[in-house]
Amino acid sequence: MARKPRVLTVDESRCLACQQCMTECALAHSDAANLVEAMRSGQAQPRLHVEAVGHFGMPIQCRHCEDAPCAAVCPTEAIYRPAPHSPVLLDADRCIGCRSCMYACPFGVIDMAREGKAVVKCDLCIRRTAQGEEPACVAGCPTKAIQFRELDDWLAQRRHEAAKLVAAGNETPNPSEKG
Amino acid sequence: MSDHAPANRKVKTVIDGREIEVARDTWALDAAAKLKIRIPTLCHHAALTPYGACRLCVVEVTKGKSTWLTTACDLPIREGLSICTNSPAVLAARRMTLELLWAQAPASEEIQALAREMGIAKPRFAARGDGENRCILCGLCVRACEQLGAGGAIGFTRRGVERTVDSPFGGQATLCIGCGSCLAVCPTGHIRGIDRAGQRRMSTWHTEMEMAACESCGALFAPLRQLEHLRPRLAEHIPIVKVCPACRRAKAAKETTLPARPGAALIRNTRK
Ligand code: SF4
Ligand code: FES
Repeated sequence: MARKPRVLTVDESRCLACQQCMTECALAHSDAANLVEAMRSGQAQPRLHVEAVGHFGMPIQCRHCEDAPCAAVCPTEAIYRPAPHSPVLLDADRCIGCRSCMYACPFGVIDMAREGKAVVKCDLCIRRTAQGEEPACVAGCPTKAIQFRELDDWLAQRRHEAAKLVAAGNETPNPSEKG
Repeated sequence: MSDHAPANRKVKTVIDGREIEVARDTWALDAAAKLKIRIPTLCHHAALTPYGACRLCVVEVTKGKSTWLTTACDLPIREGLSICTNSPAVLAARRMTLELLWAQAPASEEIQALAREMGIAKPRFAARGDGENRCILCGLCVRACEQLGAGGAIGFTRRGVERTVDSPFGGQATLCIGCGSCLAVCPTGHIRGIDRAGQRRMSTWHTEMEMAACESCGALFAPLRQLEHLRPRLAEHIPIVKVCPACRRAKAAKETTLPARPGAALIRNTRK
């Protein structure tokens, strides 16, 4: 299945810091049918965090690093990448709870599960995306601040934005060409 | 799954009357799991070498004319085996095992819960020792510690009824990095650890070690020795961050928020 790689993108100017993404994430990663049940079971635990930055909120989650440090330090191969463009995944059954990944992750996005037996991390909602759904955080965001986009599209947009800045005379792409 | 399985040869086996084809030498426990047949376990962990210590995963195996009881977690599937996970003999043996484990580790709430789940209301045999023991000698902590690659800080000591898990000579475990895996894998709640006054104390192993303080907020977030242990396991260009996970998230959020988006910063820097 040659699907184009997709990434989570965040437009923080749209983030209300309502934390709906965290709630949806917690629910999506529990076996419970609804939030009340999930909370009661003690299972509900989000894989992303909305961080406060000045007046902004900024959801932070796993970057699915190309050369993932968490996978490199894992002594049991519990954290692994099954295929080149796949998310970095965790097999909780293989986790022995040593927390090495928590200390290796540059973004601080791996947490110990509440019951203390294994860690939890973002899996880019592979179960949902396999069925054509969006990741839970994306589906839940009321302002579309978090989106799940094709990498190529996203890069094209960023190039376009940069070009616009340059055209408006605000930025210069390459100082050596300034004559 | 077994790591000594030869060239993916497939074999057929029957578990509780259902046929399944698996790679030769697949552990019976894993084969059963494929059929969604749950066999109770205590000393099993998917990432650690099977050890067959707790005997809870007992099953009845038939091959040709002979039938015997054995443990499923360390039974490699071969041609012609048929397995029953819930025959009267299996259930009786499992029940007896649990009653003995209860006597061995009377203080373990996990064992008590399991016993109740199996309909055993009260212990049949006298509790061993002072009734405070929680360890069933399943060796999960020892195996996890070995797997970690820090050298194996704890091990079995003494023999027979005196057997225990301990640090070398019951003193400070010099190879312990304070990661707490032993605590996480212990199925019976025997291992204790706590952070106090800048130290991680693995009290069950008579061991204490210093914690690293977050350079940003000051929180004690990781044993220093564990950070040292990770260094050679990371690529050289990846630094060991001396900042706690919460402060890493805050930093990541700050660095990726406007106006310091990576793209924007790149363009600005070139305008000198
Ligand atoms: S958990 Fe952290 S280290 Fe692992 S891939 Fe995600 S961002 Fe990278
Ligand atoms: S799980 Fe098989 S003997 Fe313990």
